Amino acid sequence: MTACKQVDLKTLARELLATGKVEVFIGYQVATQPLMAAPLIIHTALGASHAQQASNPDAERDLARKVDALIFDDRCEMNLVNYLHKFKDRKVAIVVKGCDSRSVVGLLQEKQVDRKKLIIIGAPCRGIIDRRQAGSEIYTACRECPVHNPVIADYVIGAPVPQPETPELSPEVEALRKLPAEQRWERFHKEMSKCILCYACRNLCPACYCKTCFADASKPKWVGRTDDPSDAMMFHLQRLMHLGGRCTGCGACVRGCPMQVDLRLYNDHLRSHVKQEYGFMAGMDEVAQPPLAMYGTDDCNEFIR
Amino acid sequence: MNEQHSEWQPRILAFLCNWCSYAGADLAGVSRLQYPPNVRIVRVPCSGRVNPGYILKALQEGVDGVLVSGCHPGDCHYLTGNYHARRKFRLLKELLDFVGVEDGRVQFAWVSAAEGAKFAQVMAEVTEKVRALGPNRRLAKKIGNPKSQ
Amino acid sequence: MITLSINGVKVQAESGASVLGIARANGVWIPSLCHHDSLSDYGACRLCLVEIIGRGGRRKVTTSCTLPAAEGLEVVTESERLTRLRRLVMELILASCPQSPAVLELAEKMGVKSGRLETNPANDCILCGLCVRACREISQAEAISFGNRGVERKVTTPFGELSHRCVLCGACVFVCPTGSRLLNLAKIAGEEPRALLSRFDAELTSTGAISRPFPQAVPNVPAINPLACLKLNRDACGLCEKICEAKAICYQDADRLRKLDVGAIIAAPGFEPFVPDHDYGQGYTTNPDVVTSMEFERMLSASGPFGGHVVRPSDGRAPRRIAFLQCVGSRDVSCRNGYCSSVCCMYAVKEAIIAKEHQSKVEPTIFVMDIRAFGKDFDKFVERAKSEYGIVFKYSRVADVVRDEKTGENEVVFTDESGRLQRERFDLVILSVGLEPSADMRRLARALGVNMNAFGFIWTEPLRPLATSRAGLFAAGAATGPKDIPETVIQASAAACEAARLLAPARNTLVTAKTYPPERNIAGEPVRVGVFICHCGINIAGVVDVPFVKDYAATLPGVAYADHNLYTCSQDTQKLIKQCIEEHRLNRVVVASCSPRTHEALFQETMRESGLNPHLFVMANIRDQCSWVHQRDPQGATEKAQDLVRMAVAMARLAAPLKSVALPVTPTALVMGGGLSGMTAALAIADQGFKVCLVEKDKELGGNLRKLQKTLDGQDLQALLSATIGRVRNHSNIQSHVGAALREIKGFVGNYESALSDGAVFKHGAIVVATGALEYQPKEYGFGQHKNIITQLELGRRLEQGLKNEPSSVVMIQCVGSREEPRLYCSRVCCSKAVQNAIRLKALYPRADVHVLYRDMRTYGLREPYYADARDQGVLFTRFDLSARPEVTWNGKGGAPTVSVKDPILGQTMTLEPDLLVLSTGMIADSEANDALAKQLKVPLNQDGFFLEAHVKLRPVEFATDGIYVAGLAHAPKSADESTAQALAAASRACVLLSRRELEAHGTIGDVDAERCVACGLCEKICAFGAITLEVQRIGRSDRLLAKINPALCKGCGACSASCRCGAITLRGFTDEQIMAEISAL
Repeated sequence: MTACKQVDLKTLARELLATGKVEVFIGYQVATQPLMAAPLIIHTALGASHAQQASNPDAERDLARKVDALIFDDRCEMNLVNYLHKFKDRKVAIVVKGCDSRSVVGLLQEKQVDRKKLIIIGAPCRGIIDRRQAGSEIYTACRECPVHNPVIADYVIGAPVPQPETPELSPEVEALRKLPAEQRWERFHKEMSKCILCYACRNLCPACYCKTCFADASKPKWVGRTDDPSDAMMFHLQRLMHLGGRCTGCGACVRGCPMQVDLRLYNDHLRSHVKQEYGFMAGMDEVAQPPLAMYGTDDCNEFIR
Repeated sequence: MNEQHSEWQPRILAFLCNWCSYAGADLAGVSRLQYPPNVRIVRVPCSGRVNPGYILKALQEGVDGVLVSGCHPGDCHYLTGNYHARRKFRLLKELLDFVGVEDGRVQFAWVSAAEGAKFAQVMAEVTEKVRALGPNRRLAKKIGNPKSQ
Repeated sequence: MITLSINGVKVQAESGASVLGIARANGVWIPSLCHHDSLSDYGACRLCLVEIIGRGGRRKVTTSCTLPAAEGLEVVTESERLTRLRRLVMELILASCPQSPAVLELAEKMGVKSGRLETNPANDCILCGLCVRACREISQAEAISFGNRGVERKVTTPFGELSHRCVLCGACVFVCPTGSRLLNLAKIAGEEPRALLSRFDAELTSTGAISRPFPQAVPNVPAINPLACLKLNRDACGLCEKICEAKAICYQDADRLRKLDVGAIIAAPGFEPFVPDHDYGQGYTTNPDVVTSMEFERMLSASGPFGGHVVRPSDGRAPRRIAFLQCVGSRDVSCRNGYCSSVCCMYAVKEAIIAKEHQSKVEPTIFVMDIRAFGKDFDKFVERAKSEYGIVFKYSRVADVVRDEKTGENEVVFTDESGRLQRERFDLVILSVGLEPSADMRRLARALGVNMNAFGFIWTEPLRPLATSRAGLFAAGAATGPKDIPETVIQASAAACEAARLLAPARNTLVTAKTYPPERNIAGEPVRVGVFICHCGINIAGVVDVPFVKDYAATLPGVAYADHNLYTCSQDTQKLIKQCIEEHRLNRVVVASCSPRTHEALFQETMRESGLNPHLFVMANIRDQCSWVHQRDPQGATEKAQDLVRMAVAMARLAAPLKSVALPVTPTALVMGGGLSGMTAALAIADQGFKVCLVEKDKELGGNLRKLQKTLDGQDLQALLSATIGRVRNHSNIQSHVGAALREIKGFVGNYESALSDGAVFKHGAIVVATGALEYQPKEYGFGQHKNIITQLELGRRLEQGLKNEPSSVVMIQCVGSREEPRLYCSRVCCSKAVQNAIRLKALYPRADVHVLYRDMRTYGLREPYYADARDQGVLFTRFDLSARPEVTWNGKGGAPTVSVKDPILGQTMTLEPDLLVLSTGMIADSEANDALAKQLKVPLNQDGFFLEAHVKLRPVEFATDGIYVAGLAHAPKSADESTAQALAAASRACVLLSRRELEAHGTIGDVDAERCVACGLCEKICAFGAITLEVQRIGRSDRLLAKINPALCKGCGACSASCRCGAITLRGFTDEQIMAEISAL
């Protein structure tokens, strides 16, 4: 992370909105459920100039109230980056944790957001409370997270946090790798049998932004919609292939899945493969070339006759 | 059905690039090199044309094995198509291995236009490997697919 | 034709034909051992018994092979009685011939087991007489026949003596059903048969009297070897004519003399490998484990005689230690080949690496005088061979190879660098044979009226490397001296350029354009597929049940018509297909026959002649990839053919007409760089009638040529320079822009628009990059700190005027700044330059000591004799390793430089005090300028900053991006004549483009769906041809960034489509839908 100004979240939001530097501010607010935060998206009125905005006391008050509601703490679980797709042509500021910041880098690499219209507010994070554990613990993913501090930011709220040692690969994936193929298949089958093809994982994934997802395409029809697990497998295997070298491990898919399908296992596996094979970590470096856009003449050839 | 076909026969789909492997397959023919008749060939311009989705789809449709074959590294008619393909297939292989699809369901080979003998050998080996694995039950769709009963 | 019945089924046949043959043709199996389709029947084995039903139902048993077909004949091939009788006959055959695998197999099939009768294990002849008939009817030699009577009866020569009539054709052995050992040609003719050896396989395998020369031969059809054919030589045999159903055999074909009127001639007859005969030594003719590199090349090939396994010819075991002996037949005046063959070092390294890859236990050692890795990026390859593959290079001179007959090991006897005799043992020795002019080069040269050089290669002008001694006659490739592949490819294009210069006015005058009926618009028509299934004589129908597949095809959805033909590719069938298209309103056609690689174009032509788009045609390969490779499994083959036809029909249903796009071409070239290469290319293009814009960054033309005086063979380069500049200035088609740079370039192949820094803006169709390179400015060896330390170029300049003081000692150090990190490449010209200057020094100052300190002397090709000459003149050459490079010191200001270097012969440090220390500095890429230009043109550089061509061997002057070409030092270090050739080659390639009025982009290209594209840029990165760019496009009412495919640049590989996550790109002709339909059809 490059050195940048440490600021107060609300002061910054107020200033950015008031000066018209941004039209949309994407952050967090307290949610109605315990131990959760909800997204808070603050717009200046569409099409209203800065001056008009200032002359409208109601709008002014509304804006001030919203800015006051902004929070950032260990409940702010959601990856807000997905909202960037919705405000493609607007000037946006967004609050990102370390993991989320990698999603932003991914989108910059893939030209999905205009850096000139984006203000990134980094939020160093020690990990998010796992509400399923009643707040006693942080998420496993957070314990294994290698980027507690954002990799890209224009402003930072709060001091950088220490980066604990993290395993190269999540112990669960490592354990699964060691099982015989039969048992790995059983696990995969079990996970896939849970899937109801609701596509929440895709909809929440910042890297899934195709206009027409292959799963929705009819010509050709890649994915069937029966409850045969092979349909879920087709969907997930192809989606995993699409995310190869791109998934940053933000965990949005797993958190959003209503059926608790553990997609992290598979994304983690591919992520570690890509790192080991090509030394590449998605979302770490805006100018790095993604491994699947490249090739090496000396790439592994052992699996080919 | 005569006797030799009463046992289970694997059905295998092969994607062959037009410039090397498809020509190698033709050469095997011209040289009358005999190999088992279990493989059905889809001609594609380049191994780089092969979307990993095709392979997955073929397996879902109940094919027992898939082979993708292209030009040797450095010999691609399109300069780099097979290099890109190799990275993609490596990723697919990693994924399929990890989820527990049998090693050998999906295989890859480089066969040049001059390697008729290698092509015949690859055909025999791929067929044998898939035969040893038995029918594809893992990824094949069971509902509404008469081929995978 | 008559009709008879076999097992109650009526079949048609020619009257008098053998019933056995008719039954087999109709798929009815009857056992037999003594029948052969091309020989008369004789009824010897008695296995083919059948019953014929006579009047009143009386059944008579007879042999079917000798039974002529007659009208109304009723034949039964299976009955209890027949089985019993056949088994009895089989039992007798088995007893007399108990060990022949063919007999055992047939016996098992017939359910006969041995045991009842006494057997004679020594015998394997069933006295069927096939061999006798073959000898009489095919070879017409009548060398063998039956002799003796009763139990003594046997196949023999007259009186059991050696036959003078045997022609060693082997037909008897070939037809023998039991593979009898008694048929021994050595006993029949007293001679071992001589196999016809395959030239392609370096005579390691045999071939037939009719064969394809090699798998990729052009044209790829079998040809009769007139020296071996019995028909042509003795009017015997004629079997091929009988067997060929396509009636393609014509014995009357003969060489014909033709007279052609031509405006230019290009001679490219190639070379022959040196043959190390008995006189040469090293045991090639006597020692089985000494092979030539050509033989080893085939041995390493997966399609070669050993399937790519590295084996020792003597015992078939895998060798561990292998030796390559370099310079066999090269750099050797004793065999009159005083030149270097240029390619052997690199092919030896390559073969060593491949051997190691095939078999990791192999330990290759290469015995060299010098490692001549002078080509582009060759040194990196050699370094990898050493470090990654552990290949050992030994500086040495090999005296002999001695075989130890007991152990089968081969001792290589050699002198090492210190001059000591050494011996090392190897399992296999490979002679790296050199290149020689072909045997009939002299005859050809005389016929052409061109001069040859001292070694028998065609002589060409030193500075016009393609021009022979006769005007209008050009020579290219190894015929003018040894060359590696890229050089020969460059020369080929360059020769074409020289010829085109003369012929430019006649371009396109002999072309007649073919016209087609207007294309039928099939939009809105329901799919109507016509399926034509080919018998290909018996090639397909002999294995696949073609009528059955045809009936099956007719049931497939969308199929409106199905037919089968004896030869679908015949002229008659093309007419028939056209009729069917009309009659049945077909709008898709599927042909199931041979390979689309050979026949698709023919059928697509028929489509166009019928007014259908050629892309509405799909082929199923049921011959090369089905009937030919599943001959023993007719049912499996038939099922496969059904599947392949179904898949093809599924593909065809979705086929859409594809339009090719015509794009205009601006007939102007931009040449970047005004040095020798740039000017040469500009002149060659301008001479062919195209406009050229020549851009030079310096204030004057000439580039590096301005710094050079003479070539190794004494040619005056300054004269060349002024003549070339003069021609460029006066050429009406060339516009020179000196002191200018490329400011901006837009567009693509055929349609560029460029702006220069001097304000000029112009359109052009092609670009030649010839921006040159820079001389390395050394930091090594005290350069710049002492007035007596100069570069080789400077010495060359000073020698032109004569040195101020006569030197008593001159030392040259080679490879200064080359061949070591960070520039691990050879600058190619410095060795020759040093030799040139050394000879000149010796000529001017015979008493001066001239000492060259080198790492490898790389006076490749025809430069080698100058190296020998320098040594003869007394120039001393001392090799040093990079680990012990020379050290240069001097005392105070006035002291002479002192050079100390290790002498490999004495093993001691030698100290030299030269008056002049000359550094052979290499060439370096102008990295900054190249980088900027590469970015503008979107073409790649290699890691040393030189421009990277499309293919290092086969496309040495082109970039992967169409319309951009490279020549000269911008590509890699090279000499003036090599730059000239490459400039001509680049011009040649550019003119191929510029001479077209328009470019036709083929239909099979990528297509972007704007609705789906998210402009992530992945396709742009993946496309190797620069055909995809992200551009803002107007879609409806908004401007959006989208991927855009340039049809002129797209090659149709589909890599973009396969990588596009959004499914926004499809490849026309191979769409996702089509391929998925094929998958689902299976």
